[in-house]
Amino acid sequence: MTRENIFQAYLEDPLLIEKNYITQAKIDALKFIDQSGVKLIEVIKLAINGNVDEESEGVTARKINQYLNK
Amino acid sequence: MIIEKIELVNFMCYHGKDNVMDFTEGINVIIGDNGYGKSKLYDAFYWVLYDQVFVPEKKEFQNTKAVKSKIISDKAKADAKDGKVSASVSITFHNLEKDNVYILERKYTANIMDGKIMETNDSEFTIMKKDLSYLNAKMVNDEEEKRRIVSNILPPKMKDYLWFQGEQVESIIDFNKQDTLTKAINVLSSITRYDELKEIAIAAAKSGNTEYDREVRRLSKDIDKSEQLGKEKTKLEERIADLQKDETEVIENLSRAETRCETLLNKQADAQKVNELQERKKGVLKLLNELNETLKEEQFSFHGKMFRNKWVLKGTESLHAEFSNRFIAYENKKLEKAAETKAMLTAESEIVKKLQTRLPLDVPEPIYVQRMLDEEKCLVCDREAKKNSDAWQKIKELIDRPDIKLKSTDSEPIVKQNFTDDFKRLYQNGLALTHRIEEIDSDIKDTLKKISNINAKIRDANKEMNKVEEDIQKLLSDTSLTSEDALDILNEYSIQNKKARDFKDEQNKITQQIEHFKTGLRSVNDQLKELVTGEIPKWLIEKKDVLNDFEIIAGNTRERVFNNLITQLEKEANGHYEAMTSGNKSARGQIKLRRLPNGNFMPEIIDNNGVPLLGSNTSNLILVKLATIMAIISAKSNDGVVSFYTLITDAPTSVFGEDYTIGFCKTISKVYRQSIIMSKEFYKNQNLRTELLTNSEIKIGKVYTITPSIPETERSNRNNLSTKIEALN
Repeated sequence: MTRENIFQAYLEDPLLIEKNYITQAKIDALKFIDQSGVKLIEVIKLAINGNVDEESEGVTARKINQYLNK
Repeated sequence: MIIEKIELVNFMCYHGKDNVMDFTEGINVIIGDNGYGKSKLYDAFYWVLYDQVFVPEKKEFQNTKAVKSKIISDKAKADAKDGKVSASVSITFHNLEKDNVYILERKYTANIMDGKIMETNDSEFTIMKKDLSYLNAKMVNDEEEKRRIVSNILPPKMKDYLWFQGEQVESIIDFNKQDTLTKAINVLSSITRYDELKEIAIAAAKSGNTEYDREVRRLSKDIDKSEQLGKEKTKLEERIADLQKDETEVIENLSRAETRCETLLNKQADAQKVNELQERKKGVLKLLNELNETLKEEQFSFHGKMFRNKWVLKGTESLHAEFSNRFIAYENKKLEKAAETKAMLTAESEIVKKLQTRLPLDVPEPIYVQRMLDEEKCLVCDREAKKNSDAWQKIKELIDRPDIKLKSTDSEPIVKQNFTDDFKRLYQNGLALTHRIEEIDSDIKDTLKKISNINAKIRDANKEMNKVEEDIQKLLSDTSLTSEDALDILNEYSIQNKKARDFKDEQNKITQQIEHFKTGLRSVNDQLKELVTGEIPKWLIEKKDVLNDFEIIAGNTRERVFNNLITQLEKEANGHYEAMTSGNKSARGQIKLRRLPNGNFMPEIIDNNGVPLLGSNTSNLILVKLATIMAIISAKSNDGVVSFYTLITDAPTSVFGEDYTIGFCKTISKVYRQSIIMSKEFYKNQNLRTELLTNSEIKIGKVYTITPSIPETERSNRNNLSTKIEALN
């Protein structure tokens, strides 16, 4: 299971479009390595990276926090 | 990673150094009967990786430290003079993608002194590594790297699903434990990642909410009220959290009760079947008793018929004719004799008549006749009559004449004893029996036929009895149902059913309460918002919203991925199940992974209409488990073939019928890039063996037979025990 697989599974969630985070067209083209410019999607990527890299939950939470405090 | 070779030196029943087996991709099979060394071979694999062997007496795996020199071949120990004797096993693993080779070897050495074994502490474990298969091997000395290599060859969490013995299949997925399948899915799939991500999301959302609440309180125009509302909010949140815990617990209880109801329903059907069979058994038993009684009577009667039906006279047809002849002869003889007597009497009477014409009786008077005889002189004619002369005799006749007459009148009886009446009665009796005797043969034949018919009926009844018994035993063993269980089932079902209803009501009640408190919480949040003066930073609102949405998405994604996994598993499991059961007509239905209220899944067999099939046989249930395990494993790889790990299993087919064996092999060879199977089915059934070697749907690797030098039953002395390995292809 790669980061990309997990990421694509998250992108399938209808909430992303329902709450206007992103359009379907952009989702279709989006890859894990791409910068989406959508905070929620970047948070998801941070969490996936942290999990795959076997970081502690605290470290990942801090990274997410820092990102959203910008 | 495939296993290329295993070499066993003095390991248990594998004496000497010539115990080498090469393996290739596909299904590799080691064929041997019970007690031929299959399990010891499985032990050899297990020992190298895990330093443990299975101890049948203890029914558990034990370390070398506990087993010690029992690992060493008895023959090797017996042959050894003073000095060292050791057992070792080495396995060559080849990572075909990277062309790495790992040679793992485990060795146990003991010392022998004066015939006594001096144990050493532990086994030695070495790993030789070739970075490329054609390079020289280098020893791996770093213990951490050794552990990593072993873990890479067979990850511990996957071990149970890849290396197992036939009887372990039952426990790998235990239908009685609700979360076994979920655990297996967690171990073998990446679903745990989604669980972990969900946890991160929950923690992040909580942190974001706390930060937001803090800001809301800070910007409040009425600090006291905000404080009060904050406390109220905390209380509500705690109350909701408690209720959610209660809800989880109730859902768990509901799941348990529903599963128990389901199990009881299954058992109820089984119990019904058992009862029906018991009734049938009673009927057959009654019939059997009646037949045995009839047979007993017929056998008694058979002896009675010897006299009652005159069977004792069988073969005496000629006796009556012979008796008749003799009787006639007897009668004729009597008649003849009567005629003779009559003739004699007639003749005598003639003589007497003649004598009467010369002189009347007693004339002269006997005293004068006696005087004439005495004086030897006829006093009538005065002539001399010398004694015994004719004249003297003539005179004597005069005195003897009355005697002659007496003799004639008291004539002798015709026969000494007259049996005529007896003989006649016998003749008449015999005559009456003659016809009966003629019917004896057909009478005996009819009776024997009747007995034979009864015996045939008894045989049939016994056969039916055995069949019923067998069905009952099978059902009892399939369902592990005792008679007591059967009796309690209905009662327990109604109890569990009521429990399930109560839990459902309770769950609804808790859900409503949670909803109620959540409404209260929303109201408190609104009130808190209203107290805010100024503006909450947009980034903070956005942060809170993003993190809350992340929490929702993480939860939903986890559920979606898991459900997709279940759908995929179901599809794959059905594919494997269908393939494995293709050779057996009794196999039926398809696998359905049923979701329980608590989110766990249980495999069950359903018919085409989705109705659960009750009372499936043990083989089917085990195949469902195997198919599910295979599905979990194969679902991990995109092409459905498990390419990295080798399946090693000892007697996997022993737990289900021979009919499934070929289907199992076909499936195994499709799912696993390499498998090593120890099997007795191919030893016993030559046709199966031929099919294994020739069936184009089976990707066959190497096939070996193993044969011990001493049969298991004659191993009181194992000092000469060795095992011969022969390659069949």
